[in-house]
Amino acid sequence: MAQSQDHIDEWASAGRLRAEDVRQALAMAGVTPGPAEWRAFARMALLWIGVLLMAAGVIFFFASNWKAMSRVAKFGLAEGLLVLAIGACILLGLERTAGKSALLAGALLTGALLALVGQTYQTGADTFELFAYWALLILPWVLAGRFGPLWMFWIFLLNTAAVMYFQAGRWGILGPLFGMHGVVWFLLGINLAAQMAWELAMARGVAWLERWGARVLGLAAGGAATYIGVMAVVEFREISAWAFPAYVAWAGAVFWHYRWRVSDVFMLSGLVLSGIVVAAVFLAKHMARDEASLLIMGVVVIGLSAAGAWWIRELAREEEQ
Amino acid sequence: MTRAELWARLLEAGLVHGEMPPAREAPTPWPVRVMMGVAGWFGGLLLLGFAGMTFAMLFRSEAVALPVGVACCMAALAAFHLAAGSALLSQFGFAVSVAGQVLIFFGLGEMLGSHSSVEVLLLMAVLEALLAAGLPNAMHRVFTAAAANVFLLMAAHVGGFAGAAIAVTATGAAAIWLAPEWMATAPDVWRPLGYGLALALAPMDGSLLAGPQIWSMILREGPAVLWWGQAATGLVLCWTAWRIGGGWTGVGLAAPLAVLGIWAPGISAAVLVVTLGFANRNRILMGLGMVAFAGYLSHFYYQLDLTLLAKAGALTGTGLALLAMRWAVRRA
Repeated sequence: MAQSQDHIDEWASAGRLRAEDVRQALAMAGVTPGPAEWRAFARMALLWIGVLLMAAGVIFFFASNWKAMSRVAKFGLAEGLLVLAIGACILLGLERTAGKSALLAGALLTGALLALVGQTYQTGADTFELFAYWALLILPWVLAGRFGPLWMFWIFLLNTAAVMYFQAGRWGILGPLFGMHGVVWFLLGINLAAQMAWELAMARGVAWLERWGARVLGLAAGGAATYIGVMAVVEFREISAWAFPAYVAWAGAVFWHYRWRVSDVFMLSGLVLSGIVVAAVFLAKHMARDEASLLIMGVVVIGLSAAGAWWIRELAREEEQ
Repeated sequence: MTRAELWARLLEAGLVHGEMPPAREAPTPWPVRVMMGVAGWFGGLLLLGFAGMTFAMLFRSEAVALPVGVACCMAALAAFHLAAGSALLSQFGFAVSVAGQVLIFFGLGEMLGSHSSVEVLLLMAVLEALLAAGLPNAMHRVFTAAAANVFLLMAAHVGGFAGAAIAVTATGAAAIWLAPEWMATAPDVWRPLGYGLALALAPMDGSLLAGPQIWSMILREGPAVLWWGQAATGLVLCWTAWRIGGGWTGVGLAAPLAVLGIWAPGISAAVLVVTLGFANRNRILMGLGMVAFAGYLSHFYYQLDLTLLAKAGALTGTGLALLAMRWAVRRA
């Protein structure tokens, strides 16, 4: 459909299609949604926005710690809503979008219940434990749900738990192993593993997974990898002697997979940008701090981005042919 | 549908005539453009640093900064016209334009006495709008269109009419994305402008990053409450629902979100962007809107204008209303 849009743009801008006929042309090409599609969109939007707002409202309610409500009433409400959500999911079935939305609501409400437990009993648990247990408890639902956005939410919980864990300073053995940048290694590990699993599942034909998920995970892993690459250049002693080899290994793996196995311009563009950042930091670290260095760095950044763009465009052209 | 099949269909309907024109080169994929845009910005700042260190007077006098800045923008215009597929030349043009814009901003601030005065910010908004209209580079248009709206918001914030800027941006985004004739006849102009406005709307109407109070914090003046701008976005959402063929039913469906958006900044903007994305089968816009929605919801938690209990009520009430409407729509 995007290609049909491009063709119509091309013909209209060349004057072969009149401006007043563009709407009709787009409708004939199926680019413009018809009434039935708009109704489906409205139903979908009302469902997802409604469910998300309600779940958020419940979370906000318990976070407000309303004194007028007794402890029993609060737990009754939280557990009741959770049972209602999962019950609705079972009743509606996971094949239906409404069933999936009920499952997502249940996953969100689990967090509200855990927060209520922590708030009521003052167990002294750290925040990371809330997110870790949340991820653990909803895992069976995530596995059963076969729903990309729910998996993405689950991976987000893992990331949050990792960040909170290091923020709490409870490093234990991880402290000497990873140092103060340990959280970045964890984020790289979590997101890279998730990305690989996502790609493997897609390659095996899992129909309910889509490319956007791999791209989001790739972005997260790429961000962490780029940070490690930058730190490796700036001061590897602060992060690890393995930082630069790890960055190179990550870059090589991304290049190999998205050049030769799965053609994805998005990932390759991200890889080029990551390389430009690390190269610029390398130059900044090793060149004199004068105006000539800034000029050279500027020219290098412009040159690398132009070269990267040319290379990816050639790849895209090759793919088309 | 293949290109030939589409042409045949349009030919049969009498919308086109004659032989199908040969295919032109495929446009640069959007991830590549974004990569070039980010790198272009980075390169521009480095070039600016070089110019600033070499010609120290650049940053000491508006009499030097302004003409040099304008010259940089003119050089960028020339580079873009000469680029014709040359990534290197267009990247160079991008970087030089960024450097020029920063110099002009610096020069205007020195000339008028303050970098955060309404006059300077409005002049920068006009400059960015002119660059967006005049410089023929898609990514450059996206950035300058977004920058024009952000400068407009800052000017309006300092001047005490922040809501007006948000209303302008929301209306502009909707007008562009709901005008397929403009998009089709000049796609290299209108599509990037549409992206720029949609991108600007995210931080403007609320708080993709930090909350509506961010503008008061950055500018250290102006009202923190932008409610009537958010109300305007809600009205634009309702107008969009009506315009896409939903009629008064569409307006009724959009209304609860429009009302919620007054207290929960950004909700209506996010849904507006998603709707405009669907109207154009544009996954980038839809993705931007969804990410913005999640961001606004999380920032709503930290807003101090309402208690958590009141917020919980607003969210739950709106959610229930939407689910009830969905049930009604399914029955209809």
